[in-house]
Amino acid sequence: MYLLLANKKSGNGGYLGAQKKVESQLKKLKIRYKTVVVEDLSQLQEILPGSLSEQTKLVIIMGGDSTVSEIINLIPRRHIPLAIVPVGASNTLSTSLGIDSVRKALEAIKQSHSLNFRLGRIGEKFFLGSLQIAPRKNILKKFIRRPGALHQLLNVLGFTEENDLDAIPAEIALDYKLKFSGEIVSLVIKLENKAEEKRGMLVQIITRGEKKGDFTEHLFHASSLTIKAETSLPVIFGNDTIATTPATIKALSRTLPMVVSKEIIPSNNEKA
Amino acid sequence: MAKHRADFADFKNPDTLIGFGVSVEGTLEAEGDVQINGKFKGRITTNGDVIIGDGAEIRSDIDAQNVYVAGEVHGDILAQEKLEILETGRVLGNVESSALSIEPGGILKGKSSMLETSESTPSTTPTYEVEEEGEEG
Repeated sequence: MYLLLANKKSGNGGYLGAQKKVESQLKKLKIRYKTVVVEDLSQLQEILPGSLSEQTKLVIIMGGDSTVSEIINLIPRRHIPLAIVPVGASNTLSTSLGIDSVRKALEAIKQSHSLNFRLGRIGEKFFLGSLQIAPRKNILKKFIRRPGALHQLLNVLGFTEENDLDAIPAEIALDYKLKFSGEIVSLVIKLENKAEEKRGMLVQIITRGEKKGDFTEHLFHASSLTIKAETSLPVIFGNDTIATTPATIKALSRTLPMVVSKEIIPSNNEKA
Repeated sequence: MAKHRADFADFKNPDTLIGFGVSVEGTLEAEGDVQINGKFKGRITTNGDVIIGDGAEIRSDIDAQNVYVAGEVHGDILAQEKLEILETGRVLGNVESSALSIEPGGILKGKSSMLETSESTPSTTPTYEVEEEGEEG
């Protein structure tokens, strides 16, 4: 039995077409399913527990990042794989799974490739894979190296040299017991998907080095991180700014099986 | 996890790396190798090895398997296996290890005592304390 959960408000009602496509596919595959449509995310807390049963083999979420986050918050610790059909205004979580369209979601559900992912949390929002915290100018620099119109534009604007990168004084508390102080050029958090990695996050911090154009790398493993910077820095997940500093980021202690596009299955990840 | 002299400069994939130019304070509890090239104040505990790089300033006790010191450590060191103080290394504190080596130029100001290893036999391996002082500056 599959459970289809749809949020009516996702993507201005765009769920309906997706719902029909998913249901049609499940019928063809002769998979039993139950569809639950909520008018509002606040209804999930009441509806979800009664909709799940021991027979639920997969939860298919039709919605965007907000709907997915809400459902992850409510899903029991039992390992029920989740599949996302991206019909929300923001679909960064599903895009991270290689699913950026309804068509890809249908393919992934049919293939049923699932991998265990550790989720990270920043405020009420979840992320997976990695996120970056850096001055906006430094994030723009990533695009400079890519040929194209933006590359040309940024070159015209003068963003050409590595030493143009901003370094912002910041304090970072790791697991509430280590305090890191330095001028941050970039901070990348990579979630560790292996369940045995108890701390959950690999934190890479790049600071400005002693000489102009030099950078220094710092590495930590942690389960939580709080960053305060002299100026507010964006927290980027995928292509979206999901928060700004000051911010506290935590890795969930558990991993969650999620259906992915077969294109993104890495060799070093665990299969669910 | 014994390492050869040639490996001292850097760990390939340290669990924790504190680079030049930053300061870190607090309790560092790692599960793997730790390399510190910057400033650290607090306490370091790991089940792996610790490298204190040239130029690093540490005000901390260290508890690890092997400890290699090329920078400056103010604090006590407990190395379950080996403690090596390299030619640029300075340790101002008491050290306890199963094996100790100090390169010419390296400084230890404090008491040194040997841990009894499982292979050691008390009748033939004496436990002793030494105090070595190198020239400062």
